[in-house]
Amino acid sequence: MGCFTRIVCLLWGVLLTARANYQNGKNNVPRLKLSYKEMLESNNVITFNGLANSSSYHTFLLDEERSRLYVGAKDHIFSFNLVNIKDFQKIVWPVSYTRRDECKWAGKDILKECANFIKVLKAYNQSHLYACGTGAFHPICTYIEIGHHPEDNIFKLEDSHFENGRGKSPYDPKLLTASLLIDGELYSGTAADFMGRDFAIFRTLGHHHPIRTEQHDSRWLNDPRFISAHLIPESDNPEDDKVYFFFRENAIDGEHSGKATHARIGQICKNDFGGHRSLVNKWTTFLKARLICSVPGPNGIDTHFDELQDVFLMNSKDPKNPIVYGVFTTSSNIFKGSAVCMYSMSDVRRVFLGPYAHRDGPNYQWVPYQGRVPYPRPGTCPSKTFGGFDSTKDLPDDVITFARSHPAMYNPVFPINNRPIMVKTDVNYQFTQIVVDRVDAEDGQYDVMFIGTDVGTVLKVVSIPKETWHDLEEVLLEEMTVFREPTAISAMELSTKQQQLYIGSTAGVAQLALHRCDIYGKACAECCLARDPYCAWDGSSCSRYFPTAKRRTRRQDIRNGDPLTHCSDLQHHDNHHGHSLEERIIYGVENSSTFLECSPKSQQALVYWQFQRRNEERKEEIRADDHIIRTEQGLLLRSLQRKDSGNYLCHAVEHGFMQALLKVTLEVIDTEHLEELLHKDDDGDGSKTKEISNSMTPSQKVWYRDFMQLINHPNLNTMDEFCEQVWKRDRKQRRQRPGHTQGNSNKWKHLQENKKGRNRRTHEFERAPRSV
Amino acid sequence: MALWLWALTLLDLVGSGVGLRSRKLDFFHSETELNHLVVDNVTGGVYLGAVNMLYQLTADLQLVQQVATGPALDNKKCTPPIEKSQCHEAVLTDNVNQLLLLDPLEGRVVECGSLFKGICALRSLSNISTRLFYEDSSGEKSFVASNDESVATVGLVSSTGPGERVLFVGKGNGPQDNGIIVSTRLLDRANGREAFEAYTDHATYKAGYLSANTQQFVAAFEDGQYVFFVFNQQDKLPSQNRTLLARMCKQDPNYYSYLEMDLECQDPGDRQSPPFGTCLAASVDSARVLYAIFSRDASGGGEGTRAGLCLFHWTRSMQDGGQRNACYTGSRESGRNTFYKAFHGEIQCGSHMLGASESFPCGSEHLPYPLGSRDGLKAKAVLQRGGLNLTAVTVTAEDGHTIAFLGTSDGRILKVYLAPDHTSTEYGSILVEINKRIKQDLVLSADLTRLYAMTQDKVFQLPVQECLSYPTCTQCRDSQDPYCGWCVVEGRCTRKAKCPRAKETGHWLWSRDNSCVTITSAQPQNMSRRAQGEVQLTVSPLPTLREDDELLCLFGDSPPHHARVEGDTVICNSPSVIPTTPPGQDHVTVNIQLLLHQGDIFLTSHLYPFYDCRE
Repeated sequence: MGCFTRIVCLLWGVLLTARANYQNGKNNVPRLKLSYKEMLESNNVITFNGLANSSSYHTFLLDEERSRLYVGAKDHIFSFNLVNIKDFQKIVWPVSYTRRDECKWAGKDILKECANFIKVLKAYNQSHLYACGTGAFHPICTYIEIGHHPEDNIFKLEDSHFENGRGKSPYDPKLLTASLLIDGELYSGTAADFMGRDFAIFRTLGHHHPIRTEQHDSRWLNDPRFISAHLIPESDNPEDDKVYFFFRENAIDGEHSGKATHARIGQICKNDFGGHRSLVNKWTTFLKARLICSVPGPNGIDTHFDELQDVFLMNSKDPKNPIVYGVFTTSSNIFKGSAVCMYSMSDVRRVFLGPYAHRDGPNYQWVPYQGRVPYPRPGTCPSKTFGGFDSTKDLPDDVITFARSHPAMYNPVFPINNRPIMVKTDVNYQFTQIVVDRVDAEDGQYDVMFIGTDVGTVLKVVSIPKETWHDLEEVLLEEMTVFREPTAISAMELSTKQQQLYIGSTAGVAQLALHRCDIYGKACAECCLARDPYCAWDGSSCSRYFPTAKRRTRRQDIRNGDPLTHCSDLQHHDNHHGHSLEERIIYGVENSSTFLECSPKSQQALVYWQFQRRNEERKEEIRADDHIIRTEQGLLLRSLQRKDSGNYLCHAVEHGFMQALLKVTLEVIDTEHLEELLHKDDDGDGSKTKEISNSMTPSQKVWYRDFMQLINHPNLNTMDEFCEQVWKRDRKQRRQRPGHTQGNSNKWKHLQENKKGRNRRTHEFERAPRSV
Repeated sequence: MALWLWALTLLDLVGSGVGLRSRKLDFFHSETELNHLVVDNVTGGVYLGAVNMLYQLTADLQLVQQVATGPALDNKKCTPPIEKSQCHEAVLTDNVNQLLLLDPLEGRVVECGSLFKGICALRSLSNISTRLFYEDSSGEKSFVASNDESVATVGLVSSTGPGERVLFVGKGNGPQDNGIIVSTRLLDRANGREAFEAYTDHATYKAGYLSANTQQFVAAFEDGQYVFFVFNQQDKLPSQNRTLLARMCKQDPNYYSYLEMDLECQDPGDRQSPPFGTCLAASVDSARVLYAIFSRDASGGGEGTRAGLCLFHWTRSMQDGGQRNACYTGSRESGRNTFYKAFHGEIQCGSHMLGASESFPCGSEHLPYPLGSRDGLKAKAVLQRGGLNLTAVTVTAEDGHTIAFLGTSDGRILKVYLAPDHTSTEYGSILVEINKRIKQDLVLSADLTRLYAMTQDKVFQLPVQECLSYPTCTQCRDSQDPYCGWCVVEGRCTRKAKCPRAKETGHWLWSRDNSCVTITSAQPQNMSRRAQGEVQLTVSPLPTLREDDELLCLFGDSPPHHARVEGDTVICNSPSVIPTTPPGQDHVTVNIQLLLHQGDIFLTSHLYPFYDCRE
């Protein structure tokens, strides 16, 4: 038998069936799943496993210009080389013994709390960073010198100049802080007291008096947890620049029955200097709106994802209108789900220009404010664009009074298309972080999301428009484990320059490339099916796609992932360069059962089996019935009959494309010949075995031995017991075997091991013979 | 004899009663309603805060200065200064005096009105027309008092440390108020801050939005390093009226030290009913006892109204840190039942080291604050009244005796003696102005001789005692006025301080000891007019006498002669001349008088019979 790849164009009926199946459940699993070991062995991840006296590598600052990643951690600040994070410098910035003892006396944990956890790490100017830490429940800040030029190679603490960090860093390392440093002023959403009760959005540093949100007013902030802060221009006039804070908080009293969390976007004007007589040194332009991320349910009851975890702003050509990506989880302890929602800034602005939420008193409902809104409209920045006044200090009394009591908008911000672009509910993990990369592909631009989870994995997802831009399809390209132990990913940065992703957790920092094109396979069809916008088939392999260099032989189809149209002319070519069709011979005894193993490397592919009776050309589709049971790993044939002998063809069907993976030739030995066979066995077991298995892979030998055992032990007369034994040994040997696929290149090794890993975890459900 | 005595007493009572009612009290009349009264303890001057007016009076209520503070264009919603263009709803509004305090050390008066969001002014103590500080354009940082006339503001001028004068303020909040409940305010410009700005950014407690309670403050006072507030609080969930005593360290820029606890005044006269609900007035004495007047029906008057006076010994429980330690070091669960976060809800107790309250007497950022405790102080009312409300209280001590003056809703001042055994006796009352509620500011004059009582528009000065009006020891004794006693060698009813030899035994007979100098027995019991000799009189109580006291015996009309004193007996010689025995009788009764100081001062007397055997 020759080695070849088959591309079979099926009848429409088959295709439709496959498509239907595909949509029924396989698109939500990652196409490729890479374990930590696989990542490590294939050099696809570089890890910094942390220092013994440090932890909590949560605060990231990316400096593409200097090619450094600054990371704030417990008692340390690191400067990693973006090329390879194994190359790093560090600053040790612990707290004094006195401070630590005071913290201990205050009843705090000496290891987990009484240290300097760096919470703020921002670029201050050309030569300095600004850093703040919890300082063992006594926040402190200072400057870090990094030199004017990358080659200066300076990285040191300005230890002569420490500042009070209150209102900049939280006291409690468990609390989140969102901060932004622009023009020498630090905006931070944090808790400004030891107890972690006085939450506010502050502006500190700089020459102006510090400014904050109103205290003790749950309408402004209600036990918030800040996620991030961003400067987004409103117009071409910098006077209109606004700082947006993303946070989650308790729903305002009366807004929701019982306790609930709401995700929020809050705005303040960059040129807000507080009121003159009222709201003195308080924001006068603060407004907030709810961010909705929900899936419609029956009877109009939606499933809400309210626990905002992370936000990423995807900048477009227009700096005023970045796309806001938000990662949300459910508030439920039982129903664990995550979602990604996308928001447009024009929707956000529309809500801030809409009705204010208003309530006449504690016993009233929140209603849209219908009365006269004072001029200038609260929330508008003082600027020439809208005219009228120069500073928030000039705002009329009624504007300030109105602003104080109407900080919330009545309408929420709905996501683009009114629903999440991605939902994950059937898994035992939740999303924690997101970064998005805009990738140019042959057929357009694609946003590739890298989503960090609370179990130390990164999901690489591309959203592909189906018919229109409003109908997006999420393709989960990869699921990669980047930390040895399951640990929540708490920070992520993406370097477009380096094409690398940097990931932080309590345990350490990991670095991985944005793409691993060669992992999809050498063949055009494999590369095409992957639908990875970073990758294209370049004529000889699957490699990084660069839109600038036009090449005739390049093939890519992100939108449809259709190799039929893109790779059919290269069929012949593939035969030479692609992978070979694997063939096996399996022997089965009449009335016993046998298992034909076949699982595709893509987890999104469906398996399609065909049967070709001996000496017949015609192939028929195998349909599952009492006799044939389909499993994830292959086909289980019960109570073999002589007529079952023939060729079994295993195909992977993915995206309407069918690819032959394996051909198994099954020989059924009837019971009459069994005695004869046993006799021969007494004569010379070895020679016979060799003869049968001359073209077999080690794994096929296992199957053969199992078969022989059946013959040697006629007492094992029940199928169940037999199968039980087979599977158990199979499992054991798979664990021991170093590598088992004969004649195939090593590049699949990790993939197959990954499959093994999965088998190990799931076999009890999927393969339990008792359920047969 | 007994009948005669009784008649005399009755006559005396009627007499004094008539005298009191007919006497015209000195008073000062104000055109507008009076709000507050304070007394300068150095000069004795009296300062009055009234609607739209401030008055400076002498101790005798003679007008020295008056100054108008209102009315002015204002609206409670608007931020001062009021410009008609910005505040369309502004109308001419009365300025109710919300806070009137003296700072004698700096020679100034602190005065806050209800106008302009409750901003304040500093005025000269010697001339209130001189305004030392007033700024109406500083905005909300200068809003001190409640701008709602029906919401009380209390305050106290003190120091946080050496030289730094501050104002501690407690107030409730009306619908257009700033929400601040307790705050510490600067009185002088410091560190770029103006007078009346918060002492620090953290030196305020603010009610939350839709706060779960409202406060009506009653009193503020200080003791050592602490400042105290008494206030009523209406909780919404669960709905209940509470009276709270709050304490803070004066030197606490971060407000970590706040501790409040319930004050519960039980009505022993009505065991079935719950404790009194509302505190209407409170006063402290030098012995660190809080005298608080409670009422069942705060709206005042009416048949169902009951009022009582409770005494709380607050120092012990507030100062030994026991309460705070119970929260700091106790279990989280038990803490949840007892402690809460004042003004704001729940607090997390526990997990702190033993002795945390001693190590941090004024709290700390890491210890729970502001701390509230439901395990408060309980007391049984020592005095109750039905059908009227007690509206004011002031307490003073005279010779170690505690005297309380209580104002009533029907215009009287009750004089109450509070015995060490926690019993009380109302020994007198003064009608000030019939059916005019006595205002809360009932103040003693600087020399403690007078009491200033305030009604709607009048201030009265009342003597705290009128001992001299009792001419005899008996009348003096029957007054039961704890101020009064019989000064023996002077033969007058006086305060103890006015009796020169009061310290000597038996020289000043306190009215409430119920004693006058009497001759309890004579030896011999009678004497023959023919066989005369010495009469030994047993005198009780016999004051210690000196030579120059010249105790004389006087038998009837006979010329007096010197008496001899041996122990507690006084020995007199029978007179040479004895009145004739009346016909039909076998004896004649002669009045023996004992006189002091050449017969000027009457000490006591006794009727002594001389018999005649011939009859």
